Amino acid sequence: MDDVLVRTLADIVKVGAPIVLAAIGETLTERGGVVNLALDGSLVLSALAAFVVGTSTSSVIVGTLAGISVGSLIALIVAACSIELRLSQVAVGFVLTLLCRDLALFLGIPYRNAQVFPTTFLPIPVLKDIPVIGAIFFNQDLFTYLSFIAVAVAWWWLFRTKAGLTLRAVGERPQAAFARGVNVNRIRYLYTALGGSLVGLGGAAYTLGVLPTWSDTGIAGNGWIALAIVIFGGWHPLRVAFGVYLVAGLRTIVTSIQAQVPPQVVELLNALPWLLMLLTLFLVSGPYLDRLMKVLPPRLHPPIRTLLRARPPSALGTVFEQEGRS
Amino acid sequence: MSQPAKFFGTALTFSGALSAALLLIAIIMLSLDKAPIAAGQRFLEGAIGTPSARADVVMAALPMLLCAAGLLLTFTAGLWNIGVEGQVTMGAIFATIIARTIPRDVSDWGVLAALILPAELLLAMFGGALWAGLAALLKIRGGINEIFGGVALNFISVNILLSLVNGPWRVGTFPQTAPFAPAALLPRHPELRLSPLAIVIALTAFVVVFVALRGTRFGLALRAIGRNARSAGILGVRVERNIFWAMVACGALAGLAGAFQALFTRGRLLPNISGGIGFMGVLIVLLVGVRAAWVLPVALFIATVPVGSLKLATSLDSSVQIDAALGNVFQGALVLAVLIGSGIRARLAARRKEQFEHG
Repeated sequence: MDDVLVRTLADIVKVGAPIVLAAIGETLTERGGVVNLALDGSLVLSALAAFVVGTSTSSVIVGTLAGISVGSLIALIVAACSIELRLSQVAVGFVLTLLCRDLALFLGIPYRNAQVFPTTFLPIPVLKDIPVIGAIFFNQDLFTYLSFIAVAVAWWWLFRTKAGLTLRAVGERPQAAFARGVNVNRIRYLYTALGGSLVGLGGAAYTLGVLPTWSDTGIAGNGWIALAIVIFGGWHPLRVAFGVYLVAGLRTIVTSIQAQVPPQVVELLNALPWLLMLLTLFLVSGPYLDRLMKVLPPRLHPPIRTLLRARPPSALGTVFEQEGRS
Repeated sequence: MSQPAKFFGTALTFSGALSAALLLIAIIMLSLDKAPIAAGQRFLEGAIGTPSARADVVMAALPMLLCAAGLLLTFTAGLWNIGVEGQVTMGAIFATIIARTIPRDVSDWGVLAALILPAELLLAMFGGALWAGLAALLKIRGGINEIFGGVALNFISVNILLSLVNGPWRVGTFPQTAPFAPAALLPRHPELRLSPLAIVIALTAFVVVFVALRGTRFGLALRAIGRNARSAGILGVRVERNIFWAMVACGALAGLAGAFQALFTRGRLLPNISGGIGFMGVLIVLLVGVRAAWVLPVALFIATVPVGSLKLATSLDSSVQIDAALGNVFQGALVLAVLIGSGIRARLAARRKEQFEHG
């Protein structure tokens, strides 16, 4: 395979890593029935926290932990407002996303153009020498490996463990799960916090890995992309990861041809990921999929339905009134 | 609960939330070695101390009022029209289609000159309505949640805006159009930075929305859909049609707000023309909890924040000089505190009721 292509693919995997982490976190949260709409603001604020703490302690690990704490704290606010106060998750999340982003923009002013953080580049000795695969997947920085692990573990956890089954039950049929003895609200707290910490890890991946410096403009907006990709990916970790790489790929292509086309065309090309997602969802979740099905042989129907399913968890965004507490 | 007790409760929630938000800002200021009290005085002086400052506040409130008025319609129907930001942007773009072609001298245009402004404003309303209609169609025909569709269309509208000001509409070294000719702008008060026509238009729009919500079949249908869309449908309300028109009406008002931004506030088209006023509209509606009558005073109150913060940001006194971004933090913190405060109040009321019922 030619060199440019391998380098481009390696780049896509790298720039996609923070969005993968955030989107996988949100997938777990939403599978439990909670929407963390504060994702975009969380991503920016945790990125700033990771950068400030990381540079002042000159430790990647302490910085990353700071990012994770900020992300999970914001997610816990959303969960508490929903579970304890019965507030709309969308309202709280939307206000929080604006608040956290503005807070990060304000508090980050002194750190603009701050020094570049020491690299977290971490090639894996033997594996990186495998032709093509090694160059794309094992010649990366720390956070990129974490994004691979997050996808694999999230998939395995959701579909191959009892705990994952419980989580999906809580998001689909909380009443039924409760009747089987599951503490629905505790599960929701747990996975909202877990999802939030993955978002925080994604923020840290920006300022300590991908960029690696503090830049609000380089981060804000990516949280909305992650939220959209969770829907685009049908709440399935592997499809979510695929969606992220598709979007990251489109962006990389646009960046690479930037010099050859006029600026007005570049700006329009930047809208492609959103157009692609809108169009796909429109075709998949509307009545058009059924029309397509009529043309195809019935044998193909079940696999296509699983592949393109875009139905949210049934109890997404709702409040569960657990008995025995008010 | 009795009416005065309810009012007292609301007042308590708001003042508690306001204190919490102010406390947060004071803590941030103290940690940066700024003087919060002096900054507060400076802020009030800069926002409401002089006639020209008050005029700025009124003009800043108008686009927010328009967005909030439109959002009252969609929120009443239970729709989260996050796409309002993109609808503002499209309004500004569509107004510019005409505004940028108007020459400096229109003295020989005669009657046509009087049609420039109405044409610009109508086209802006069309642009906003188009974008909102698109989000509504995606929801109704494609089953795409209006939040997701709105976010996507927001980003696409920004891409279109940047494409235009970087390309065909660009004049000069910066990505922006040339300043519009006076005939293309909203007419200005001779002394103050104030447009009486804009005030009349915005207030009229607000009153129309208010009346539509209170006293028309459309308003009743929207309220029924907001309570329970399925029941409303069973009872004969045309859910999809009403959702579509609520979105389109909101988009038209947001488009008008965009025209105000381009034809008065900025006087040209440039990146970030909306300046987040669509989202501020959402915050206002969340703040008043969809109680329409409160939108007007709250919009004026919220509009003091950017005006006053800008005065602080440009202050020469370093003990109060602080970036205007802190104003946005205050707005967000205030709305969050009000949401949490009213949530706590509702829980306490529910608990009291429960105890009462169980003896």
